[in-house]
Amino acid sequence: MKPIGRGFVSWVEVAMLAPALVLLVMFLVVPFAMSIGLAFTNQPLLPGPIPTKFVGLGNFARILSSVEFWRAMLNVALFTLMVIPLQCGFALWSAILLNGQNRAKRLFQGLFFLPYITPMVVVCVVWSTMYQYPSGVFNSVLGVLTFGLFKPVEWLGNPHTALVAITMLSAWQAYGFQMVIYMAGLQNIPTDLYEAAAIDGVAGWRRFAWVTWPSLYQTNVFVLIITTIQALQLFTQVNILTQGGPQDSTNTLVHYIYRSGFVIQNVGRASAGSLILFLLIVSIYGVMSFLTKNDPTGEKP
Amino acid sequence: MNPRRIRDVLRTILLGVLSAIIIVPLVILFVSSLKGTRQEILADAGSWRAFIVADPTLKNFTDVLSPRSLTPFLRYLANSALVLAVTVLLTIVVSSMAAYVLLRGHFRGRKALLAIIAALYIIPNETIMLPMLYECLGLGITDSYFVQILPFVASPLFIFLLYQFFAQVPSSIAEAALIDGAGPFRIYSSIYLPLNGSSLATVAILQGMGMWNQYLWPLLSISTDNYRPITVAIASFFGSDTILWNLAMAGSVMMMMPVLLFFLFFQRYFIASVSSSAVKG
Amino acid sequence: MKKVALLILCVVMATMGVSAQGKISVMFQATGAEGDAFKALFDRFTRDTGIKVEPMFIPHDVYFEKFSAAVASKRVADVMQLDAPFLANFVWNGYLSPLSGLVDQKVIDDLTLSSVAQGTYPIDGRLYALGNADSTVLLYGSKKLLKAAGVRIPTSVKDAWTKDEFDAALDKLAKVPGVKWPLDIFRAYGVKTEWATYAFQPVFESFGGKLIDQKSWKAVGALDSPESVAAAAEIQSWVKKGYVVPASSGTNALYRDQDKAALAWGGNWYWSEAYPIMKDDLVAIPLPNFGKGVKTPNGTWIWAITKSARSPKAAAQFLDYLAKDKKFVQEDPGVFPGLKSWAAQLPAYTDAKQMKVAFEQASVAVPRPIYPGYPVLTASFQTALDSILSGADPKQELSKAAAAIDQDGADHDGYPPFGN
Repeated sequence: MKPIGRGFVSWVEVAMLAPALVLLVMFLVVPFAMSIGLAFTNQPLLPGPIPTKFVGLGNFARILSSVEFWRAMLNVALFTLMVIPLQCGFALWSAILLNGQNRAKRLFQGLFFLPYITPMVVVCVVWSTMYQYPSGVFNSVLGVLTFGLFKPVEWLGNPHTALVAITMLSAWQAYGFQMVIYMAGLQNIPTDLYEAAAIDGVAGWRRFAWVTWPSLYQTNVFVLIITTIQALQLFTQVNILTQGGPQDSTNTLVHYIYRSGFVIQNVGRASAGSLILFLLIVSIYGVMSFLTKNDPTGEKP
Repeated sequence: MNPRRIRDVLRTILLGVLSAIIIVPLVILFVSSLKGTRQEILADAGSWRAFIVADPTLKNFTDVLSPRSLTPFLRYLANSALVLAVTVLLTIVVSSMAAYVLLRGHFRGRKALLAIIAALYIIPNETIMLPMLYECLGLGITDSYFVQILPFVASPLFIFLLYQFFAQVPSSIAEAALIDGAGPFRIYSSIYLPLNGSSLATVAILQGMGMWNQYLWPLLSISTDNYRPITVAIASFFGSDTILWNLAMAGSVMMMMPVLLFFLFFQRYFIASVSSSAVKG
Repeated sequence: MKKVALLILCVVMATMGVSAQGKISVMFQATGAEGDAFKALFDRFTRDTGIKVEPMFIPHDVYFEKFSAAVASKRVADVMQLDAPFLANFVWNGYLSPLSGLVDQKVIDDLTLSSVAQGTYPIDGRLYALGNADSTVLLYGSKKLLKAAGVRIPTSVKDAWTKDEFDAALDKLAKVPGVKWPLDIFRAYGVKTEWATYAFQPVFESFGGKLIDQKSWKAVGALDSPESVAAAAEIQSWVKKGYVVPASSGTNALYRDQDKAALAWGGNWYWSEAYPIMKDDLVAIPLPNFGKGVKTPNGTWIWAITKSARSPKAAAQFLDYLAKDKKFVQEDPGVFPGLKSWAAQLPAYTDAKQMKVAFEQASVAVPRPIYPGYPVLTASFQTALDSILSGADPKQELSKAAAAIDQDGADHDGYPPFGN
């Protein structure tokens, strides 16, 4: 290897990295630091006659001892466990189907991606009509398919089904994201692997299990982590459709934080909640990274 | 018919059926936008009549676009489009450069830096919204296009994503170029960028979608009409106890059009041929 | 030479004079056609007074968030709308200016009692906001179905249904074929929204209970008093008997073809939604008298002048204009008058066959508690009501809510001088 003047190389590299770093610091790190500072105060949303006090760990104590908070934790865990297989599974399946398709591929790709283009507000509004009790689309279709055995369900009004209803809606809206990532990941699998498999007579399911799936290892890890982090931050749908109800069955961490800040008007408490959420996600990310360290394809991360 | 053909036909049928199911909510949306009054939409909502319209009318569309309207739809649409275009462009440039340096750079602590950047992705948006607002106020960039663009250009998600995709390009190519005396920027622009067309297209689409649906942030940071995005117009149809369903549906359909075009444009880069042959040998 | 300079000076001073006429910024929320009506109003105002208006339109669902951002950026508008129950919060935090002396006294005199009650800050008794519009909640019914059930239809507040009559009416309506649910209380509006407090505080008041004691500003003892618990239990009984339209069933149960409701406990705006479909079958009925008289809610988005307004006089001029503007009345659909002179202009509200009952109710309106801690009060009440409607024990839920409200009061040292 020819020695390259370190000074010159570093300079260009720094210049290439700098914009990203500067922007990240300005618009993520700094606000987050401010937020951390606020977490230890009782700063109200609107500055008023009573001055803001330092309350130490008071906010954290209040949050961690509140039933609402722990219910939100549970809900978010349930949601994550339900949405990952549904959303990512369907995304992967679609990506595989689309990648192998020749006829009208662009058309199908476009159709499959449409839900992701739909604004969440609109999605919620249309799906709420579909979830209507007793004769919305879901209840009617399920009734017809089961020849009347299925009794109409109050999807969004029943504490046992509300979270499931939100899960389905979320998976529908967002699977496009994972699908697109999977499609790029599938494209990156070298064709010689497939050729070798064809020569060895491996096809169909076995080809998926032995060639495709392992080659997608990095993509899978990425998708899993990103989807988990996104799932833990569930908010918009809940805010529009159920506001955390019925009976707290769809309350989520971010929704709890939002209510603390904008409804109860305690920015300090909201910041404390955000900090707790952040630490939670960091630990989950840490655990997941540790568990997925080994890449069978031998590619160094 | 050989099995390959059968499989192709079956797959086409399967895709057709799946597509039909997937777009059901969107059909409801589109059909509703052609219904004249919100009562009609509501009355039809709970039944199969949600899929058909008796007297289709374009009145909702013209109402939404009306110049008398408080929310200038087309102006907002243009604002959103501009913000989207600039943000996506900058994101691709900034994120890909950063990803490249993190991958192939020559300074120590790259791994740690990558980990930190990835960790930043975890910070929930709602948490930093208010502090970011105070900061932008201090910088004097509120009420402009900048405030809608700058905070989103550097995204930990896309840097990380591109890093992953770049990492799949075998290092042998880059090393060969290094030996030939190419500098980092050269390697980046002539090797990594062209080879990763589909990844960049992916980032473009995902970032584009995110930007198009921005709602709370532009609302907080912008006070005047000139710079507002389209989401504000849609929100104006959702009142405290009444939802103007007919206008909301029509507005949403129109809001989805530009972004659909955006997607269709970038779609062709997905059908990129697999790059492995360039790598071998 | 001198003449030219003088001429130029005159022109410059003339233009300066015009721009020195003033500019006001107005922060408001609106939906659809309402927004267009506002825009037209601003244009008319500028045309008639020369004062320019800088509109700050904020969608309803993020209004409060935007306001807090505006406060943080010290860019609060000169004139702003606010949801009536939040008046105390804004005044206590020091954002609003009293209106007397600024706004035309004739306008203030024209306000209905309900409007005055909403806009007055109890500590100093001064008027801080006025509304040209107001609102109320009443019962809507289908004449056909009520007749089929053999239920008497009250024609004025004086002969409203009693509690027993109302319960009996629900029982009878449940048996009428074609009625899926006798009563729609609009659970579909949202589980935890202002609707809960707005529409159901009157029931508590009519039972003799209340949300918070307005002398000591403590909720414990008021929200969980026997009367309040009885009110909650009554509302819960309707749901328990299966009489109430479920939350996922939409808001059109009164006028749609299938899965109908016979009665709707709805806001005045519901009239313009249901009337085109139901026409003469629709009847407006006063809320029931649960013991201590018919009590109705009031409150809507009212207008105030902020402390930071650069030109309070210009701002006041706008409020005067708004109150006196005749065109606005006609353009804004579903509006409920807050001015005595307005009511005379709206045929629907003087017509006994239409909404006269609704306007009559304004005289028995009870505003939601005017207390700086209202945000937490309403949030706690909504949560409690949601649980109660789902079957939880009323006393327990109300006690929990009362404790949360008092806790918030304690956190703010009782919102002096309210709590002291």
